[in-house]
Formats: sequence, structure tokens, C-alpha cells
Amino acid sequence: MTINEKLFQCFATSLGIELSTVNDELTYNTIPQWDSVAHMSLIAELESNFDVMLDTDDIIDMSSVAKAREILQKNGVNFE
Amino acid sequence: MPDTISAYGIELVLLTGDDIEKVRQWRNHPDVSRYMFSQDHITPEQQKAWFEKTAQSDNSRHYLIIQSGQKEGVASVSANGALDGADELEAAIYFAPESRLRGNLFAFAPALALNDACFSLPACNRLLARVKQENTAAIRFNNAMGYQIEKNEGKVVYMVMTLADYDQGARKIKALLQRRNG
Repeated sequence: MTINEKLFQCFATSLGIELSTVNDELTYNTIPQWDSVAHMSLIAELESNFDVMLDTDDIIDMSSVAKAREILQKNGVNFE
Repeated sequence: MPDTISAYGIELVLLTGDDIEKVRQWRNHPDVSRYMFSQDHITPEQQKAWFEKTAQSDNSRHYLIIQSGQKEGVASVSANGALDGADELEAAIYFAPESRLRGNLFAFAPALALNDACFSLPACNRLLARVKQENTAAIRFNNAMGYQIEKNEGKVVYMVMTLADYDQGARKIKALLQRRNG
């Protein structure tokens, strides 16, 4: 599994959606499954799978798949 | 209830007359009003009258939710009698249409801060919440904190939470928030 697939899998698991529907354009207000409870699961999933500790600003900014990748990169995760 | 509550990286600050117009605009926005029990448009005069009445009452308190200096929404608590002596309090929050806390883990922060303050009152045994049946996100949100559904009546879901429910239910959320905010 590539690092990008791992990221997509975290979103699919947390939001309870098909992996095939996860893409960079997936944003919090575009699907009903993305609510605060799902976001809580997403943060726990990302921290556990990528071994990072996200700060408050990062969590509040975590509003799309593309943004999540950007934040993880800032926290030392290499997507190359 | 205190005038200011600080916890989980947010502040709840007692609503003042300076902010009631902003709050009125939020409350009238379709994204907010669709989940309220009344969709009637609120005029500035009605808002002023409501604020003056609630400011004089000891049955409710309304707080502005502030995160990193930004005004994000409103948290309210009310009771049938004076808050300080009530054994049941009704808690409610809503976010501004453009709030960054919508659909976010940190949406729990103001709710937990309010719940903690309510349960710290000596007489408070239970928190109540009323949610429109169609507002599934709010029902899930309340469930995650420990609320249980008491009954469904006329498309309204009545929820209740004891301190034991809350201690058990909110533990995971509190742990996630407190890792960052002490």
C-alpha cells in the first residue's frame, strides 16, 4: 500500500465510505458522512497510522483530503 | 454559571449586547435555522427584546463560542427555574454558518466546556437536549458525548444524559482534546 493509499484508507474507514469515492476533492461539507463524530475518528486514525501528534490549528484546518496531506507533510510524513 | 468558561482550547464568554446583531444574523441563516424549532425570521427588535429578557433572567445563560479570537457560535443553557438550583438543565449549541468548527473534532470543545460547567453545579443531575429528528448529525454528536435517547415525539428526539453517562461517553473525546490543550 502506498502512503497515498494509506491516507485514502483512513478517510474511507473514518467516514464509513467506499475507498473508491475518496479523492483529493473530498471536503467536509460535500458529504453528509463527514460530521464531527467522523472527524474525531479521522484524527485518531491519522495520528495512529502516521504516528503524528496534530496540534489544534492542524485539526481545525483538516477540512479536505488535500489539506490532510499538506498537514501530514508539514508534520514530517513523506508522500514522495 | 460563570461569565467566562475556558476549557479544551476554547472560551465561552457571556453574550453581550454588542454581539446580538451578529448572533441574529447567524440564527437567521438557512444553514442554522433549518435545525431550529422555529424558522421565523428574527428582526433586530425581536432580538433586542429577547436579549433584554434573558439578561434579566436567572433561568438561562447564553455564551459566545470563541476559538483563537474568532467568534464561532453560541452555547446556551436553560432550566425551568433558576439554573443554580435546577436538577435538570437543557444544553444547546449552534455554530455560525462559516464556522471552522463545523464537522470538526473541535465542535465538541464548547459542548464539553458547557457540560462540565453544568455538572459542576451542585443541584444538576441530568442534562437534556431536544433535537429535530432529521438532524442526524446532532443526534450522533450528542450520543458520542453520552446522551441517550429518551423518546421520539412529533419528529423531535428527546435526549438525556446523567453525569455517569457523560463520564463514560465523553472520555475518548476529552482525551483527544486534552492531549493538546491540557
